[in-house]
Amino acid sequence: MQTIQLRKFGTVLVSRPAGLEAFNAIRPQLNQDTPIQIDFDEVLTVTPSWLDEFLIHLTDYNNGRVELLPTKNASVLASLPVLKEARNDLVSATVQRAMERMRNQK
Amino acid sequence: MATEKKVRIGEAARILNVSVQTLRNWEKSGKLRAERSRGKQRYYALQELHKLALDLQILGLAWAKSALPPELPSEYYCERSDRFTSRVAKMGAELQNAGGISEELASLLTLVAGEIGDNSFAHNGANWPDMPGVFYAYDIAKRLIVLADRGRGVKATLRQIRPGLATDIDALRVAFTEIVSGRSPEKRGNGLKVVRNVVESKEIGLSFRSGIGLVDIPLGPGLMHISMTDENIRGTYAVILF
Repeated sequence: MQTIQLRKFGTVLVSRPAGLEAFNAIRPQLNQDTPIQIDFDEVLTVTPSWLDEFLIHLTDYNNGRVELLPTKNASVLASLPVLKEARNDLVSATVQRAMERMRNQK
Repeated sequence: MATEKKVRIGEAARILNVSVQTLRNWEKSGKLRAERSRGKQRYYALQELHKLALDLQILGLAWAKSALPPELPSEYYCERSDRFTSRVAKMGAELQNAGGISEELASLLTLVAGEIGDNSFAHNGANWPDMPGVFYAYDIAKRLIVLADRGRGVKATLRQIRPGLATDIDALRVAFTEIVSGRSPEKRGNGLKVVRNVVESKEIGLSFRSGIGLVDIPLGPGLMHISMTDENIRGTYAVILF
């Protein structure tokens, strides 16, 4: 398992171009055959646009083996239901698994 | 003060970048007092006008709707997206350190402002009709954030994927409520749906205008209402209260 700390991209993550830029920056460090987990610790805000764009490229790169670590980050929790509903692809599956895990932990 | 400089209504309207009728309305509502000459003409104290010109909502509205773009203090103008992004991050940090604002509210306000401002850049790309960029200002003490752009507006940009959209109200309804589903990477944002969910469920208020459409979500938790205004805004104008 490899972990991406989103904090390394900043504490406020806004816009699709910035989401793509973040993916491009991290890609050389990723092993395509190893599952990835995303850690939202110490991030104040991730907008749905940034998260959607980042996850599109990441899940495509890793064939969907991407998991979101449980978080209390309000912006992430607000974005997930819309991302899950808006898509019908690997991003949606990743988001759905994360939401189920967090629901079960409550 | 007898020596205080005063101007007539036309000049006052020019200074504030609003219409003469708006000034008459403000007088009725008590927002801006006018004095009367013996001939019943309105006069405005220049000092009051300058104070009002620093009102963020008025400045933002002037940026969004005046025929010629007014000059803005540089701290309120983000010509490019990267400047906007770094200023949103700065606001997020200030909200976190402000005291009396929960981490949750700071996170969500930053999301709402970030998504609305970013939409302006994403939807206008290189097609700004005149001045690119957004007006972006906030006053944490007054619990207010204002964003405005001189872009093509929600209806014009949404028509690229929904040619049948007839009115500004339809366009705002689609932008704030309809989720675009798709197997292929759909790059049209669903960000405004998240914005609506957040604002409706939290202690955040939103007024969002484009064309003659107005989206209004009350400050306390409450549902969105879409209506028509009598004043056109080509781009967008948003006021966030908290």
